[in-house]
Amino acid sequence: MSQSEARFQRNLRLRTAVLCAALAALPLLVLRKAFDLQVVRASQLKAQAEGQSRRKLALTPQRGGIFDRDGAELAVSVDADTIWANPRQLRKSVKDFPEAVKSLATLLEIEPATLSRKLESDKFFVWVKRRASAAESKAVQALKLPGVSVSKEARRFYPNRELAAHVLGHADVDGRGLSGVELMLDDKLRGSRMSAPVVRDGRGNVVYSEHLLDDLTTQGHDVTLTIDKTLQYFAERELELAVRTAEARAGSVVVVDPTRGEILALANYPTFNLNDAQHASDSQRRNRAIVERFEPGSTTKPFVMAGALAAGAVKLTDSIDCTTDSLVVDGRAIHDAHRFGMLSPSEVISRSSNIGISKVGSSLGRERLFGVLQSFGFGAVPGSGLPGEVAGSLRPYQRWYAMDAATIPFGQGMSTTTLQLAMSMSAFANKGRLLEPLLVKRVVDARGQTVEEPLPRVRKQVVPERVARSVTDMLVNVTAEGGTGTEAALDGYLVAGKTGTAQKSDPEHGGYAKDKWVSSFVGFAPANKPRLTIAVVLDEPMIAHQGGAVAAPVFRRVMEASLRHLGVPAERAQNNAVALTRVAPPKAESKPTWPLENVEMPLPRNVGPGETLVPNLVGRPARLALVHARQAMLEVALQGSGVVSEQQPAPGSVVKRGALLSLQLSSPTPELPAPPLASDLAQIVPQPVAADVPPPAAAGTRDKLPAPPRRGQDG
Amino acid sequence: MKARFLKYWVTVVIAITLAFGVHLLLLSENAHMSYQLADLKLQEERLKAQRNLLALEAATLRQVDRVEAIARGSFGMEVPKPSHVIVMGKQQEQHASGRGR
Repeated sequence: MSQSEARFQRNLRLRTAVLCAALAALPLLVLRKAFDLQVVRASQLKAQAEGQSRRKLALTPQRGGIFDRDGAELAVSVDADTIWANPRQLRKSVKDFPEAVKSLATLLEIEPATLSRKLESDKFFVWVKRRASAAESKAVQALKLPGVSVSKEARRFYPNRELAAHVLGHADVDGRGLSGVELMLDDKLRGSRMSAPVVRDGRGNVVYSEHLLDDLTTQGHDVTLTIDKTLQYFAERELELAVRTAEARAGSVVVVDPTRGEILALANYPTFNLNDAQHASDSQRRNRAIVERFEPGSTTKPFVMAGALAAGAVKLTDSIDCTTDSLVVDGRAIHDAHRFGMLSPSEVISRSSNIGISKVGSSLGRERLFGVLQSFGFGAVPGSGLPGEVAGSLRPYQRWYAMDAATIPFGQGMSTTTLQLAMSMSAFANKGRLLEPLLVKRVVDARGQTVEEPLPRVRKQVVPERVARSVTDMLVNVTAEGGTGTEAALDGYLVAGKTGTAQKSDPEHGGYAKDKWVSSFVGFAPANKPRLTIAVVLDEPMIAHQGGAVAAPVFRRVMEASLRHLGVPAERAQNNAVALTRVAPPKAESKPTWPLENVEMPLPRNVGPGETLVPNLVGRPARLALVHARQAMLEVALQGSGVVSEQQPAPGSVVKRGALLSLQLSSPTPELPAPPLASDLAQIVPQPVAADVPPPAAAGTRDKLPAPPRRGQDG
Repeated sequence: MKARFLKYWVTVVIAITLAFGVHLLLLSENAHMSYQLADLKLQEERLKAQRNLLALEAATLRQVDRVEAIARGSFGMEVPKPSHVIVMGKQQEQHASGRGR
């Protein structure tokens, strides 16, 4: 081996050794660095990395929905576009700032000066328009103004508009409840605001967050009410009609399930559209059924009578002397509508004798009279939980004047609310047990788990069951012939109820106003197996003021429609089932035909948005025609009197909502009877009465308005 | 000896490189799936919003007065007289006024 070869071999070994050493050292360096990063500085670097990539994301909870007892939506939240701006960025990036503001203002229909003031501020964030329409947000996005953005925000909608407006209440633009159930259950509906850590990439996109997968915990709870949407509709429809017909100042109706205390409907008039609550007046927003006190008048009499029967102060066989014209107490006279003679306790109630019940109250004594009324819930808050609910007034008996002790038995000198009256009357329907009103049926969280499910709660056994039954019998007589509440009688059902007509106090001159009344009717049906209690109160009706003439028909119509909706069969319907099995069906030619049903009607085309179908009103009485026209959202022009003989536009036409419907009325002829219709059939066509069914209201009484009573008169 | 050492050494380096590669692959897959998850979440929110809108529309269409107007106006339906009601067997339960939930 030459010397050069030997040197080459030496160098090669050396180079190989250096290369191997380098190869061995490199991973060692990597490992050392990895050890440094992963172990030595791990926590510090982890915090640094998280600081760069992790951000807090505010989770906006969606407000829970409100549903009726059958799950129909009453209040829902949906996402709406909201437009906001960064004024600093906008001013910096836009060359012609005034022009940009002007175009934005024009698009969003905002006053340019107002918008300009907002956008000239030194803030980083201002609302431009909250809850904008989809078209507006699209147009704003098309402008591509730097610093102007569109984001989503929940907006509260009430799909049934005015329906149950006072029960539901409304929420403000930030989703905070302001009244009604929205306020009462705000903490449950609102959900909880929280922020979740999320990982964002370099562009700011959310990469991943396990918290986002479980955002149900922040969502608001869904609330199911005891309200029945359909019953609520019946109550509102009939109340509005009654207030308009009687030219009353206001009115309220409460429908309760007497065996569970559940409020099925609570209606007030005037009312308002929940989707436009900010433009409603205070009068429209007032939940009169729970905040407005009134003197109950004769509707108090059954409670006093029940107390007297329970205490043994009066027996069912007693006779009460009502032969005098008046009863003088403390120098002032109490009158009856007529000189009645000797009355049984039942007749005192059915004929609504003030003198009679005053004597019953007197036999009970002040302390026990006060105790009875208090037991029935008078003077205490009913306890529905709705905001602003008030108790009626019932002063302690020690502070009563002699006249108070004589007038309180017929409801003067104390006050109550419509809800309280309905709950108290329900005690008779519930074997003498007073229940607490229930408005919330169930509260369910976003996962569907039941959070709260209130159960019916008995407040007190007010009177024994036998007394409740006896008073119920008396109340049935009120709606029978000779009673004051015949207008409340229903074909096929036993109705127990009591009329009330109370003069309103005159704050200017003292005492009672001569021409201002509160008319009421409260009762339940079927009396033998109560399903519903309904209280109707009309404030200052002008056309008539007797509870039996003004409030009782509302009770009848709401009760009739509600019982039908609930599937409660009339006694007669059950009898008919037997009759139908034995009687052959009538021949075709013998069937009663309504000539107008044979009138050819144009085939209706599809009803588009903002349009309505013209109903066939020919043959209908004016009042029913008005109801149907209103339901079809049509304005009505009436001419003449009687039933509708002609209408323009023709039935079946499709017209715009709010269009004018001209109705020509003429006297009905026997040859052209009105078609059978719904609730007021009994008024038009005489109905056969089954032997075991109580007689309907005496013929003719429905059209007659009783003469106005004398001062202090009631019934 | 040297060749054997070299062989082991190369094997170790290749193994470490492979492990690192797998680690990178898993990281990338994780990031990809996280993006997918975020997208799905966004899609879920959009669908929920759409469902809410549709529910609102359905509730509006189910307004009692509207249903009554159509029943009477379009179909000529009338409320049955009590005498037209035939009770068969057990008394019927309350009708739902809305959809079941």
